[in-house]
Amino acid sequence: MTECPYPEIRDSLPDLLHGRLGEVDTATLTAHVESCTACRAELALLGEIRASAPLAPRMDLERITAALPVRSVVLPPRRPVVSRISSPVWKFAAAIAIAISGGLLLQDRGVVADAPSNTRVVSSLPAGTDGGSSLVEPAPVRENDESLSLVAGVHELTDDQIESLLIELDGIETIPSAEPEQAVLYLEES
Amino acid sequence: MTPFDLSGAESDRELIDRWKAGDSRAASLLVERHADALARFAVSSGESEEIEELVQDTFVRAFASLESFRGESSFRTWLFTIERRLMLDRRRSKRRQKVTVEVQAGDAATDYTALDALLAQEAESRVRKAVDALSPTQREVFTLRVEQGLSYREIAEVAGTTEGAARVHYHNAMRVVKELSSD
Repeated sequence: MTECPYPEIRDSLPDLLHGRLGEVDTATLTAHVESCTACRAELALLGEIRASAPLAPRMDLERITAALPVRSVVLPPRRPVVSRISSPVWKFAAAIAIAISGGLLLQDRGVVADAPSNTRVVSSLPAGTDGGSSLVEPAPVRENDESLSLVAGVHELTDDQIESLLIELDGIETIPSAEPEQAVLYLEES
Repeated sequence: MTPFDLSGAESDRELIDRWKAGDSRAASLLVERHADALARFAVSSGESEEIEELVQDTFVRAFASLESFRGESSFRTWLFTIERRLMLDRRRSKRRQKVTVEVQAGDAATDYTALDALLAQEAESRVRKAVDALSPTQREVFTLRVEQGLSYREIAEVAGTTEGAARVHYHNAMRVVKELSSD
């Protein structure tokens, strides 16, 4: 059997056999094969070899598929939840708010404590409805109990104490010097 | 168009994406599409026992490492690459076994008796004899090229060689087959 002088065409004969060529190449090659005895013989031999290829045994495809690993869907990673509440700035603001409200509350109690001990509360009930005295006894009031007060009244401080307190207040840094780091919470998938 | 593109059917790439999204039916379609080719390649490469197990192992390994499949080659080429490695492992294992274990006469009887008979019958044909006479490397390249229709680039990928070497092996094999089949 003589060989075709065009090695690139011989190279492509298996592709022609398997239909792997484009339309143009298929037409060109087919035309060549029709005119080339060597290529025609080689293509026929290739076809014979392909046809004589050993048959594959019958297989249980369901069994093969069942043995495959189960695909668990991977969800896209969740965006980390940034907790604003845990931000140090907010903590700082909350602490100030609590301190102020606590201070005001205690200051109010201090005012009550400063009230004269002989104060009496007059009932709004019309006289005679209770068949007795129209005066109601006030709740007992502790007098000058400074142990209850965390913040003493400013009027109780001396001038020196007020001055040193103001100096200390001036020294307090109300704004953090550095940008606080973001707190990140990762939610566990259930 | 490649012989693996089925007109009107989803491409391998699409089926792989579907499987990755959790659709197990896509895996069935891929198995259905490529199992026979893998079995034929195994038989043509000289394997005669436990072909189904070999094909199954190939798919299991392929699906287990599907994340690493970049799609630079066709899915079938990638499957052939995996199957070829498994066949090499098998042969190495069998060679070791031969040294230490004496094969019992009855062990050879398998479900593939009919296949063996068919292979023996086919082996009588001139061309088959010629192909069987090729060296293992030549037969592998020749089988992938002629029976499976792979390109030289794909053969090089499966066989772990270069396109040039695959081309040389093919032409040498073709020359031998021509000579033997014309006797």
